Amino acid sequence: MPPFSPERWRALSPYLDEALGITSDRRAGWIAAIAAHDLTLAADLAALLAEHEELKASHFLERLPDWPTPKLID
Amino acid sequence: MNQHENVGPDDLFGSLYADLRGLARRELKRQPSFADLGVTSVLHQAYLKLAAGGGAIFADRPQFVAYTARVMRGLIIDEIRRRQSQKRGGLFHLTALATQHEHDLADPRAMMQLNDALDALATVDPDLAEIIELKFFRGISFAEIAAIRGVSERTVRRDWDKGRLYLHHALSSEPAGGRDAAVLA
Repeated sequence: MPPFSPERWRALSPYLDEALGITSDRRAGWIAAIAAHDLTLAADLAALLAEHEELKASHFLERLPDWPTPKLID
Repeated sequence: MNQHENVGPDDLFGSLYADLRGLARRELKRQPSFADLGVTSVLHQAYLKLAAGGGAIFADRPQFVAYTARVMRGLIIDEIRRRQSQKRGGLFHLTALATQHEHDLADPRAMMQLNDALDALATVDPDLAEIIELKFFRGISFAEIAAIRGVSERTVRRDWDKGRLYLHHALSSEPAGGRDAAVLA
């Protein structure tokens, strides 16, 4: 999925507000309802919600990173 | 805080010094590589940047705290840039990367990319960017952010998730292919 354009983010934003407020088990039905009238929007939202689950599982930004030690010159 | 309404940075800085000192100490504790900057040094640099802004007036305490948080993030990023520049200076500095101190410095490139993505988010959705800044860079709790912004903690948590999603997506879409989002986890 390519980076968001500002316009795309603004279009997706209100849907994300709604999606992040409902439980995971209800999201499939919610996506299906959107797909009935806008397949592209539904696909983008499904991808983003999957990414949201991924970032939650990896605790993204929840603590300072354990970054690798920089390497010396080859 | 009504008594702070419509006053300049000199007055606000003095009255909020204790708050800011706590923020700076927390920031330096979270980023031990920067501990040698010193809490007082960070605060004074923040003040100088505020004062150099030309007599900025803040409507209220939340606006001032948020602004100061941005200044402090800038100071940390400036320090990363300065140290990166030093490391590029020669073999002696590169050899020094093997020390434990430099391990704490972590991967500056990932932090710089996060900083850029946060700037981009600020142009699209400044409220989300501010929440990320207060939570990640400043370490302020959801409850405190909710109090500062006058919204519910639930709203703050939702916006935090939304902001993180924007940043994760932006970092994962970088040409490097997502490594930088991974190292921030």
